[in-house]
This record gives sequence, structure tokens and C-alpha cells, in this order.
Amino acid sequence: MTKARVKLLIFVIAVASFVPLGIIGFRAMSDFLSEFQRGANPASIFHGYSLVVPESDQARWLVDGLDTGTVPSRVQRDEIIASYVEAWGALNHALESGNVDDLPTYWAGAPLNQARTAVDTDDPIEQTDSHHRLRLQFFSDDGSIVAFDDLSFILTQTRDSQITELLVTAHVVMTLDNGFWRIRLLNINY
Amino acid sequence: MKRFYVVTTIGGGLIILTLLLAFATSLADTNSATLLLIADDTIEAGHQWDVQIELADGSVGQEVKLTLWLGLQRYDESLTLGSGGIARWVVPEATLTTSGTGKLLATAGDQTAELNLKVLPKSPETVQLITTANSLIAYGLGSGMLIGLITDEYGNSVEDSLPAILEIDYPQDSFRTRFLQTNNGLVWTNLESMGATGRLRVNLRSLQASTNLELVQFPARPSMIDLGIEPTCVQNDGRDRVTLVADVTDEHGAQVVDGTVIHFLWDEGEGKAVIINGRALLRIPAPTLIGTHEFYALSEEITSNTVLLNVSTTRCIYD
Repeated sequence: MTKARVKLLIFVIAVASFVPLGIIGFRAMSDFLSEFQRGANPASIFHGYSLVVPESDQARWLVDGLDTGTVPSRVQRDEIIASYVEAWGALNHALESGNVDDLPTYWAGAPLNQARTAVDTDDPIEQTDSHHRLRLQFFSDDGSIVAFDDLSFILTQTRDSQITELLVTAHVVMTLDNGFWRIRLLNINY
Repeated sequence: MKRFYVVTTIGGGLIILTLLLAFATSLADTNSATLLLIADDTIEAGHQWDVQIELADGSVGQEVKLTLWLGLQRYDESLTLGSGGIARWVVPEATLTTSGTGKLLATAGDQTAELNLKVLPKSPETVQLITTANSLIAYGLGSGMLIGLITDEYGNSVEDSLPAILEIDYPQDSFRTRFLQTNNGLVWTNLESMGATGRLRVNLRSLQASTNLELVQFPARPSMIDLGIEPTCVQNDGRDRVTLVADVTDEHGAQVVDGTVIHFLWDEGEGKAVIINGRALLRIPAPTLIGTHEFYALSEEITSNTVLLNVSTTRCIYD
């Protein structure tokens, strides 16, 4: 074997080994970069907290109860109903993903503990909620505490391809803490 | 015509017979639903719950699937029927801690059965007392709301119509008691101030659970400013200082709230001071312009009396 051929052979082996090493390195770099891109959009911290008022078939207010203390304004009602529906949305997401990080944004106290316990990371549940009908029972004069009944809403759960539809009534107390409405007391009747 | 009657009678008879058969079949189907759930329909939160499952035509080893929804929780269990087609599900203590009405669904083959379980909250353990006004203007001019959240040891809202007693200890030994009833763990009442300024103590209790809260009744807005000046006469050498003293009280003679800003005004200028212990002080260099200078003070719409400072070329002589 001539010297030139040995050099050529070394060159071919080097090129051949550089290709997989390059691919492995590229993927490692890609994973490294994507690690810092996960979760919320970094710019979202400047956008603040946005509430989306649900459609009426998803949730709506009924006529208020008899003595509600104070009557909330339209804007306050929108904030409460949006937060309430988002609380259920956060629970639905947690049940499916097993990630409970978002729950404290919408849940507090004993209901938060309940929600965390309900999340089973090994056996996810697909859950949807709809037809919330809220009847105001109490609203504090400083606009920081609200109590209402959620009459006959529908929870649909899917686990192991088995779908169950549940008709649920709930008594809810929410409090406004640091700008977020959170479910603080929850009594559910199936 | 006769033939018509015969056909109609036979046809009608057949329809009635068919309906009877359908009814009998449905009855038979109902009777064949032999999956039975035997359990207490009401327990207290945290207690053990036993469910007996009976399948009349069930064979040993047959599987029964159970799902219980209670609160936000879902409990799935799979049991195997023993002899006599019977299985037992024991939910241990401190598991079913959420109050409310739960639903149990059992499935064995094509048989299903449902049972509702009512979990009652335990007796009150924790009372949270919240006020929408930490301080109130005294003399009945201030108002707010008192809200109580009463829960059991598991954080469940306590039963409805449970008595809660609210005791309000106003300043100057005035005392009021209000009897409230829980509604979804919530009690609330409007609170009006009463009497003079001072601390207002509130106690809310429901059975053994109790909590306290303290609020402050503070004075009303300034109603009178009594302005004084020291000294009342200075020499025009520019070496003296003058102190203006404003004693500010509300319409009931109580010292107004610390921090209230008082504006002092005089011919050549103005100054500000805040009230501490009912009094605002301002020290300024004495004017050098010879003559009598007027000073007065303002707070919101209230104006004080006018005080005079005499600036002269000679030493001041006091009587």
C-alpha cells in the first residue's frame, strides 16, 4: 500500500467518523437550545394576564340570588366567570398532562389540594367542561369575595377510551388575591 | 261491513297483544338487572366506607369495575367476585375527605349500577374572618363588611344553617352580638361604626371554632383648627424663628388622624406640615418686614383662626 493510499484511507475514515459525530453534536446543540425555549414565550411576562370571557354556551350568569350583599358590575362579572372557566381549564389540562404547575394560579386552599391530588401522572384523564350556569349568592362590597352556585354543568371524562358524562352542581367561593380570582371553597354534587 | 269489523277487531287485538308483550319484556329486563350496590348513602368526611357488590348470576372470579367521583377526585377500583357473586370494597379512613355528593358507578359485564354517596363535612375547625375595611370612621359614619369562611379540618365548607355568633366590642364598652347562619361555609354581615375613636374588636365563633379580628375607628375629617404662634413679636434683625402650632380636631372634638396635611399661609409665603398626635408644627424664619403679619392655617375646607406676628425695629416688650 502506497503512502498516498494510506493518507486517502485516513481521510475517508476521518470524514466517515465526522458525519455521525457532526449529527450527534448538532442534535445535542439543538436540545440544548430548545431547553431554554420551553414553556411560556419569554416576552409574555410583559403582556400581563389576559382573561377571555367565555361564550354563553360555555358559561353564563343566571338571575342573581335574593340577598347578594353587593351587586358586581358587568366587568367584575366578566372577570369572575372568565377566571372560573379558566380554573376548570387549568384542571382539565393538569389531569391530562400531569403538570400541576398552573393550578395555583386559579385554585387555592383545600380545592387546590383536591385538584393536585386528583391529578394522576401515571393514568391521565381527558376532561372537558361545559354549560356552566352561575347564580350569584354573595359579592363583597370591596369586590374581593364572591360566592355563587354553578347549576348543572357537564363534565365529560375519558379514561382508557371509556367516556363518562357527569352532571354536576357546585357551590363555589372565589377570592381575589393579588389580582387573580381563585377558587377557595368548592362543594360538588354529582 | 261485517268483514271490516272482524279485521279491525283482530288488528286491534294484535296491537294490544304486541304492546303487552313489549311491556312484559321490559319488565323482565328490569328484573334481570341484578347488580346490587349495598352501602351507607351518607358518611362523615374522612370516615371509612364499605360497599358490598352483589351480582345474583355472577360467577366466582368475575371482574367488577368501580368508579367513584367525589369532589374533584376520581377513584377507580377493580374487584373480583367471590362465592355467591359478592365482592366488598372498603374505602379506608381519611380517604373520602371531600364533602359533597359523590357518585359510584359499578360495571360487571353488561350490568351497571349507580349509587349516590353524601359525604357530610365535619364540625367547624377553622374560621377565617375577613373585613372589607380595616379602619372605619367613628360615630356611625363608617361602614364595611365582615365575612367569615368556616371550614372543617379537611377544608370543606361546613353544613348550611349552622349557627355562627359574631360579637363586636366597640370602643367605650359598647357591645353588639349578631346571630348568623352559614351558607356554603360563608357568613357575612354589614358592619357600621359606633361610638368614639379607638379599637374595635370582633370575634366570630361557630361551635368550637373561633377567631378574632381588630379594626380601628378613626376620627372624622378636620372640623376645627386652633392656630397659635410663638413668639407673637420679633425684632426685624432676621435672627428669630417663629413656630406655628395647629391643633386640629373633628366635629366630636377628637384629634384627627395622624398624617393629615395642614397648610399654613401668611403674607409672604406658605408652608405645610403633617399632624402628629393631633398637632401640626411649622417653624419658619421670622419675616423682616416691619409691621403686623397675619398667619392662618387650612385643611380641606376648614380655615383656622388668624394669628398675628408683630415685627418691629426695637425689642419687643411684653405685658
